[in-house]
Amino acid sequence: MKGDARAIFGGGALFAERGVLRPGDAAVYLDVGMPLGPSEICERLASYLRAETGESVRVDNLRPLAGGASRAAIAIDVAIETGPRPAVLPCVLRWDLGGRIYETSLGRVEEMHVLRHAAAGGVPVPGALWATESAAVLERPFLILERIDGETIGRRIIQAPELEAARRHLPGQMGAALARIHALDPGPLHFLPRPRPAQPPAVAVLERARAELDRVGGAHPGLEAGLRWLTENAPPSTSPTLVHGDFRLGNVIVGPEGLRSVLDWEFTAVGDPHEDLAWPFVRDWRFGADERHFAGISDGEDFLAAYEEAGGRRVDRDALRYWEALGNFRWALGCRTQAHRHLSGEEPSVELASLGRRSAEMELEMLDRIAEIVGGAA
Amino acid sequence: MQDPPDWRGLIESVRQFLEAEVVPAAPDARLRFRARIAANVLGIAMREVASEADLLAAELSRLSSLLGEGRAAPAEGHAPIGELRDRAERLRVELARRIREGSAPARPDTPLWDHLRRTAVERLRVANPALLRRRGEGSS
Repeated sequence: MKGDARAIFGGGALFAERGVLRPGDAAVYLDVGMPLGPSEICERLASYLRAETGESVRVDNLRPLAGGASRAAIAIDVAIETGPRPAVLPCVLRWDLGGRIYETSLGRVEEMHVLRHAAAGGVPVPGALWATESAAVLERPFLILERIDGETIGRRIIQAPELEAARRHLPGQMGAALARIHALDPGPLHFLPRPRPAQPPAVAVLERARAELDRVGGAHPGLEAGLRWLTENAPPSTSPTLVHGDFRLGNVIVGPEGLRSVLDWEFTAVGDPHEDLAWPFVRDWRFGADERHFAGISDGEDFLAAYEEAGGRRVDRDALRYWEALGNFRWALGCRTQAHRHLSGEEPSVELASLGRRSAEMELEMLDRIAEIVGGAA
Repeated sequence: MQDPPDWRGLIESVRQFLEAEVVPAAPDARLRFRARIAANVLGIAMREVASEADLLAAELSRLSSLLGEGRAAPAEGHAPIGELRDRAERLRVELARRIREGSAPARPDTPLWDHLRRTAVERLRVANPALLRRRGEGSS
């Protein structure tokens, strides 16, 4: 048992019992759903990286970071001890936790290809170093990224006094970064989900959502109404672009000077650029600062102007309002899906359970946004 | 009879334990976050037990009138809560089916849209009353 952190973390215990842990493990708490303890993660990663690099590799200083509900984010240091360039690489391990939020989300190797493609296109992203879909190394797929310092938690980004200057720059920087994302050629990324020829991108998104709704099961009159209205009122087909799919605070790294990096490319697809443009306007992504419609930071005019300025397409305000309603629909459904992961027994978690009860927030917002669109057109 | 505390007191004692003891002692942010969520979940459960019968009755009466099958139901005020839950779920399934098929047109400014909105607000009265207050749709 000596040093076997799995006995403590994997078995559902909440607190580290310091006496039986290695010194470096003392302050580490991993989610109960994680299949391996801290020292085992480090040892298995080190041997995987020895095979990948052909060098002598050590992995240590493991500590959990703020991650999403679908994947853990864990800081690690990868020490390459031999070879032409010995170095200690600060890294982040993105490690899958059971199921995916949406069935169509990308695998970790696919996400690595997207990240490298984005980097080549001038989008600020962390270097994507290694990835595997195999369960052989850590029992679940993972992706290892270069670690970039900064804040990722949305609420802190909009509130922290030391990020005041960052908040002034951020809408413009996010607009410019999004224009670069939409300029990426989706051609080489053949695995991305995409609309059928001549199918409006919104209809492709809603088709996937309908399958998801049926998979979750149960009766959802509010979501059905949203699905129906959004399908009947989908904007016509535009020439599609690569879309990030989850472009908002929480998925960007922010330093005192502003945007440092765009993260979380697992929902990347080919679609309507207004999907990404509208997503940070969705009320829940204002993190409580409801009156500042863009990300809880600004009215969004700075964001949209910077997007157009940096080569993005002309923003269609009607499409923007439509996709904001659709974004609320998608997130309301996402909450149900997350709760389903808990309810199905796939991944028992109080956090996932609680998300089920957040669905009504986004559903109410969706109903009101649609009513506003219809009222405005009357 | 049961000895005190009653169920409410028991749940509240766990909620306070999470908030006052687990949250401050949690060794990292992730556990602290989850402990806060757990305390909040108990708050939701307390509000649900207190308001479920009233909210179900209101929803059932709207569902019955929307679906045009109001009169056949037994006096709902006297039915056991389990029966009300089952009946409400059957009617929700039927309503969802009609919306998907298009026989219940989904657009704003209709009794259907009004029902959906009220139902969302009622769910938030249990799940997140603070958010409703922020949106200017507090108690009542």
